[in-house]
Amino acid sequence: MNDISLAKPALLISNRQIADGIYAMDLQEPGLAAEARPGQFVMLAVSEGADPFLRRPFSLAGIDGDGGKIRLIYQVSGRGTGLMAAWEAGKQVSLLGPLGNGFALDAQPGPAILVGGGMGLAPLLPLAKELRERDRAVYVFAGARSLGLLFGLSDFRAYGCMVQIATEDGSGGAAGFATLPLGQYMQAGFPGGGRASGTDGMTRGGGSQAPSLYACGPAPFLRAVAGLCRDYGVEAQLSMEERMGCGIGACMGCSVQIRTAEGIVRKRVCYDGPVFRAGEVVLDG
Amino acid sequence: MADLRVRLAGLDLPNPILAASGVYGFGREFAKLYPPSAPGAIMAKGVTLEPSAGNLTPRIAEAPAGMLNSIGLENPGVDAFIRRELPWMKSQGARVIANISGHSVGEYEEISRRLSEAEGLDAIEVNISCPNLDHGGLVFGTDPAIAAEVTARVRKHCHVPLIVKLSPNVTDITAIAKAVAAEGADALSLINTLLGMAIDVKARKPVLARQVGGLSGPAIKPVALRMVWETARAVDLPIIGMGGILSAEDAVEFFLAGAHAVAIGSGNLIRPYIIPEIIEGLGRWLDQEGYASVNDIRRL
Ligand SMILES: Cc1cc2nc3c(=O)[nH]c(=O)nc-3n(C[C@H](O)[C@H](O)[C@H](O)COP(=O)(O)OP(=O)(O)OC[C@H]3O[C@@H](n4cnc5c(N)ncnc54)[C@H](O)[C@@H]3O)c2cc1C
Ligand SMILES: Cc1cc2nc3c(=O)[nH]c(=O)nc-3n(C[C@H](O)[C@H](O)[C@H](O)COP(=O)(O)O)c2cc1C
Ligand code: FES
Repeated sequence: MNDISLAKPALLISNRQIADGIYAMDLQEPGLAAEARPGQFVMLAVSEGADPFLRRPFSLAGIDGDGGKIRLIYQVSGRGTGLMAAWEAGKQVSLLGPLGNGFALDAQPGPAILVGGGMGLAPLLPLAKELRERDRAVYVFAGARSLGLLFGLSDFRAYGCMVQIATEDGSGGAAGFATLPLGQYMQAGFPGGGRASGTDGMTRGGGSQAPSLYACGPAPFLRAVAGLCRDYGVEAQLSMEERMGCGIGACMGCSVQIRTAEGIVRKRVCYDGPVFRAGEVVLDG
Repeated sequence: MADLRVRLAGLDLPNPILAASGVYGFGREFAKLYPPSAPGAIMAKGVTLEPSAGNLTPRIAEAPAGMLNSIGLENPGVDAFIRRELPWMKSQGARVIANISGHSVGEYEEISRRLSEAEGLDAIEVNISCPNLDHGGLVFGTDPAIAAEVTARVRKHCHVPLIVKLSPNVTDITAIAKAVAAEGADALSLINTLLGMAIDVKARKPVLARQVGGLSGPAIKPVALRMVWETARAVDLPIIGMGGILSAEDAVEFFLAGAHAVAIGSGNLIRPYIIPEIIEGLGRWLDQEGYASVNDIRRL
């Protein structure tokens, strides 16, 4: 775990817009693709010189081990991502990765609930694919500010996931955060998710196993998801974001507060995370 | 191939390219990329007397051709360094320079007392760019008298080469350099980060949780070169130069300015193999330019 296989150029295969200001970049790098697991990320150099200086962290939004390819899905939100949007096929891109620990997949055999807010949907795509390959029932709750910012929905459906969406401006699905349909789903007794008490009409491989939940998104969103999981007693893994220097655990730039048996300690999002158990994460303020 | 070995304040180093403190942890992460014995020496993450949790995040901000950090010295404390990190680093063949920080003169003294019993330590680097809690938070390294006192107190217990790391946030760095030289520093390292700030226009607040942080990277290289050059002319101590080095040519600039060795800081974050690359690049440069040894580069 956490072994860095790659700090060398990957070949850019395609880079195209898939939603409003959101791009998908496919890169060829067999070593990385073979090793990567859902929930891991890469540090990408956005310039060859020293300006912009720092590498940018991006989740693996697609892992094609057999084809030797990975996909990143990124939103243009500043200088680095602005430069990336103009890159064309054939370019050599310097990647460092795969980094961090991915989602823990073998924890439970029951159904999986995937909750993504905004760009937080990106790491859920390879996760959904892998869970479906393991024949787990997968329920996706996808939220964004507006419909034009949602991506990956057809992929989730193609993998055989149940998908519900929410938009803050009401332009698609439920009007609000993804936690709105998620809360309704939980309140309704996890229909299809096969809670022991459930009178579900749409059981699909879930059996009566407890569901596990995986979420990624901005901190306030994760706070709301963690609250629901606490209320309904659901085991959850949250993927966190933090500003990063090195991405490999050396600089302490991304160190956040984590709750343990010994009290609150600091852990590095890049090295000990980015995925943490909901109960561990201190999401105040 | 040209000889890269240097002898510096009694330290024998296989090459003059060191890992700067704070960007390299205790070498464990970079050990997955190349051996910890590759850098001339590793200047370990700064340690304090007690374990320290550091500042809240965000701790990192982008700056033009550089970065700001406000880690706040998150570290496991000097005892854990001695017990856990130093033995591991030595077992990997690294030359280890401890980097120490205190909140009071007494803390510096106590840390160095404890380090005096640490087996295998190659040198101590004293980071005086810390706020002195006994003097209203004034940074030790900005006052010649206080910088001298810290040096004297550490010197009492230090049986290995003593390096004092100077802060650039001063009007006259040579005054500090002379003051610590007089109290027995064996070498100087410079520069630490320059105090700076970044503001998020969208959020209308500072990017860093601590508001201000230390600027590093190529953005500070001209300042670092100037300070190394001034210091080399003012005191007769070996100098470890640092600040924005990203290439062998950058390193040579520091040798020409008067440094005997250099350290790479932020460069490690963006180019994880930068230290072995610069070691190789320096060898090539020396060969091309006809130098038999890196020590033959004459300072300006
Ligand atoms: C583990 C991880 C995974 C991520 N995955 C994705 C993803 O799949 N898709 C995606 O669009 N974005 C993702 N992000 C956020 C992405 O890193 C930022 O959007 C990106 O760094 C912005 O760079 P910029 O130069 O365009 O923005 P600028 O604002 O110009 O960047 C300035 C500095 O701030 C940092 N920064 C800015 N926003 C963020 C942020 N939200 N998180 C961390 N650092 C930030 C930059 O890296 C850079 O160092 C992820 C972040 C982390 C930590
Ligand atoms: C993330 C980070 C952490 C640092 N931590 C320390 C530290 O603990 N002690 C210290 O003396 N200097 C510390 N520094 C300063 C560096 O060692 C170095 O002096 C400075 O960054 C200039 O070199 P550079 O431009 O090559 O980075 C730190 C710098 C960075 C970027
Ligand atoms: S970004 Fe350097 S420790 Fe995480």
